[in-house]
Amino acid sequence: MKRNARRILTLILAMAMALGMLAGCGGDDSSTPSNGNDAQGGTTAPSTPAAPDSGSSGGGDYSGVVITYGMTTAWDTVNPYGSSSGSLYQNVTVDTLYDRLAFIEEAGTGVSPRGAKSWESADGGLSILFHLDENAKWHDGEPVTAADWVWTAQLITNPAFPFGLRSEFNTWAGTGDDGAETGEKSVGLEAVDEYTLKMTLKSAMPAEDWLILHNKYFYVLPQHLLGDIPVEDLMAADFWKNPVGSGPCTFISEISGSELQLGAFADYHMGAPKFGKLVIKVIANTNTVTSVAAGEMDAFFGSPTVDDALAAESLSGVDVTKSSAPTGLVSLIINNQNVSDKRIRQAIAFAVDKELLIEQSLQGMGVASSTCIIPGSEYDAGIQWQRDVDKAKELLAEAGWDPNATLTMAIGSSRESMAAVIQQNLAEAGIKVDIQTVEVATMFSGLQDGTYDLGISGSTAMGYPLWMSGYYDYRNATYCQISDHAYADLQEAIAAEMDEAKRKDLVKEYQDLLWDQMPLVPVYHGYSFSVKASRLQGYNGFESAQNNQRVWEWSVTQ
Amino acid sequence: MFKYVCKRLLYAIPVFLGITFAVYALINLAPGGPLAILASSGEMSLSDLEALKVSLGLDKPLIVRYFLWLGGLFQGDLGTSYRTSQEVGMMIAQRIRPSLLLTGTGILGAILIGIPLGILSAYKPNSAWDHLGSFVSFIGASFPSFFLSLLLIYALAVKLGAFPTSGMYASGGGESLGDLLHHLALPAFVCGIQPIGNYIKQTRSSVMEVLNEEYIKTARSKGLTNTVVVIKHAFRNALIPVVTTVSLSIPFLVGGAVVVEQIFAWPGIGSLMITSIQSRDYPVIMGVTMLICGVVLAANLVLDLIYAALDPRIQFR
Repeated sequence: MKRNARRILTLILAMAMALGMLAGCGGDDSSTPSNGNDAQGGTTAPSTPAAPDSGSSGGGDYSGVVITYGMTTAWDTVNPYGSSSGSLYQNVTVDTLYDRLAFIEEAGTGVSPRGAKSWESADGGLSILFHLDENAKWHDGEPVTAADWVWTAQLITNPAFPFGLRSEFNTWAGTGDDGAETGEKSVGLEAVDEYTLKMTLKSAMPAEDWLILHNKYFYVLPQHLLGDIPVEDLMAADFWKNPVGSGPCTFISEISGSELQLGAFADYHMGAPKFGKLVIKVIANTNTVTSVAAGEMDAFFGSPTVDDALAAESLSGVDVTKSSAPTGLVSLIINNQNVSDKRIRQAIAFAVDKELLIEQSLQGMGVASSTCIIPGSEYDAGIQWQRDVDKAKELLAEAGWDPNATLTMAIGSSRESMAAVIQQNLAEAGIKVDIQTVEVATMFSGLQDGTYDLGISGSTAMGYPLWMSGYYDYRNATYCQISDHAYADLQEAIAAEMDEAKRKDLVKEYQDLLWDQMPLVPVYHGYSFSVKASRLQGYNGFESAQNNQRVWEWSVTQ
Repeated sequence: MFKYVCKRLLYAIPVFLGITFAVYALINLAPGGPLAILASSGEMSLSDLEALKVSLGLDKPLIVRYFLWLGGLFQGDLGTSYRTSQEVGMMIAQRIRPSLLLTGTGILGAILIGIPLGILSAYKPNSAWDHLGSFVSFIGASFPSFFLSLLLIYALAVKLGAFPTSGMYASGGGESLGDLLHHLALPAFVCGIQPIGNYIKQTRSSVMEVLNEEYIKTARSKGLTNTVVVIKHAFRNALIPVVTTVSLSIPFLVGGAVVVEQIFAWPGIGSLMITSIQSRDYPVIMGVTMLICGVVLAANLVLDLIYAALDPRIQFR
């Protein structure tokens, strides 16, 4: 009897501990927080899509329409200044919640109104006047004014606010090289009147150029909701758990790194979105096209592989579009400290068989690159690359290259076949390469600290000639270990040039410099593809590469 | 027994500290760091990078950072994610329930199918049940979860449209139980198919061993029915190795099924861990490690208590 009692007691204790353990792990209900926005003006979508008032303005009831958008990598946070990664996934996501001054067109070919309905350069290019849209409202119904933009600028240049990309704004007057204000609220933004914002720059710059380069990080925040919170407490404020912006979508709920549910902002000044709910979901790389084909996803961020895109063309209910310009640039990064002789870098450029790589990786859908400028674009100086292994050998001999020396090349697993071709190409010229397949953090870190001599990276090119300027700027944490000021000096001259003809001359000079110094080897500019469900209309899958999307123009046909 | 539990809890403290410090040191020693990822755009200025290093506390020595983390932990603060600027505790709380649901369903299904099949296989060797058990074990052991996941998605979701390809609920759905079960079916099946082989084989061998014991013959000679002999006498005495095998699934239960969660876009701990490792988000990695470590230590204690309940010969010392 006593023994039985002991066993029963033991079992009860074990069960209690197990239950306690599981209950402790259960967490709270924060996975789907309710939308406090509902109480802030009634303009947001409720948590269920069938509510009658959601997204119903603009001549139709779209409350039942749900658009699902996939991402293979998660956004970081719904706080537009809470991330320092500069990730496209992050920017595209917060772009739905907060407004920016302008919208950047596909491939950066132009700028169109958004938070500002028009703008003009003043003071000989030293300042820009933005005429803000008077109809812009916060999700709680309050108007967005120039004072909000000024307050946001003062906040992000305040050293007490730990924003990691502050130097993006060092073009503003009243800031130092690090983008921090030089005096209290010294930043050169002022509200001329309620809807006119004046931005003063340190040096002259065309308004469109400023927008193309820096608009992607400048999101307006609501002063009336955040202004009373001490700056040092703002990053951790409860506001970010249920943020209020002035973008096309309202916040409903977030499972960090997994799913973000957004409602339609019926009063959005560019037009109310034609859906009741936009769901952004993180999906596996392997599932992008299949999810669209299965009807579960309307579109996804990024370009599928050429093979996947071509396979998707035969699927019903799926639309595949090819980009109008080859904007997908793949580059061979060179550590300019370890490979300091430009002749060796030039030899690498001549030895790599770019045409073969285009055939292998893109089924021929790309153009061999000579510089970062998109081939055939407005600013292309027409420098032609041709493979010349003999010339590569000559250059190496001139440079006194030691044939026994080995360069280490770091790559991610997706670039293994490309790296093997490059290794073979360089071996033909007499350069030994040791390939190290590593995961992405190791690769980036090793390229930044000079552990590796070579690496392969991909970027999305823009029509704007300085789109890749950060890579060549000695002041940045670049992968190429740049110490030469010549690139930055010329870049600054191009940025400050207001005369278009003179600018083109400078850009030609810039391309000549890049071609001569070859700080990195641009391999090819490839065409990209967009895959979407046929029912989704008004969608341009290539806009997202510019950190924004016109979600307010998206609609679905049933 | 109370003394025994207290003693075990005291032993757990240095183990917990040792594990957390080892993990903290290892992730910090791994090549690449959070700054490399945060500056991966290649456009971050050196001044921004330096400021970020200071604001994240990465300028401090490793040992100081560990004790700062530990100090926060004792105050219930798991820190703030480098990547999302959100509280780690909240991020884990959002993910733990889906993980428990997914892996719990998979393991429960594996137990409910695997153990009875193991008993039947042992009771009737070389029967149809035994062959079925061997076949299921073979499938579970030989199909990698990523391959099985993709196969099921292609066949059952894309081709037949019978199941969703990913997610926990349909977009914009009412998050109903039916919708949840519909989304749960494929990933839970993949989670369950792997341990099921172990459960079948372990149960079969344990029960077979016990069936040859003298006391089973005695029970039979007393005229007890086969069901009573197998369930009440044989299976019960064969339970200890089975319980051990099942308990090995506990870290998997809490830590999530990394591959399955990734492929099916299930918002669990496993996918959070992978994202955090890729971005070198030390506070989140430590938060999840601490959770798994704590649960495993507690589960071991619970297991020992269960052993004692199952086998009267086991004494607490």
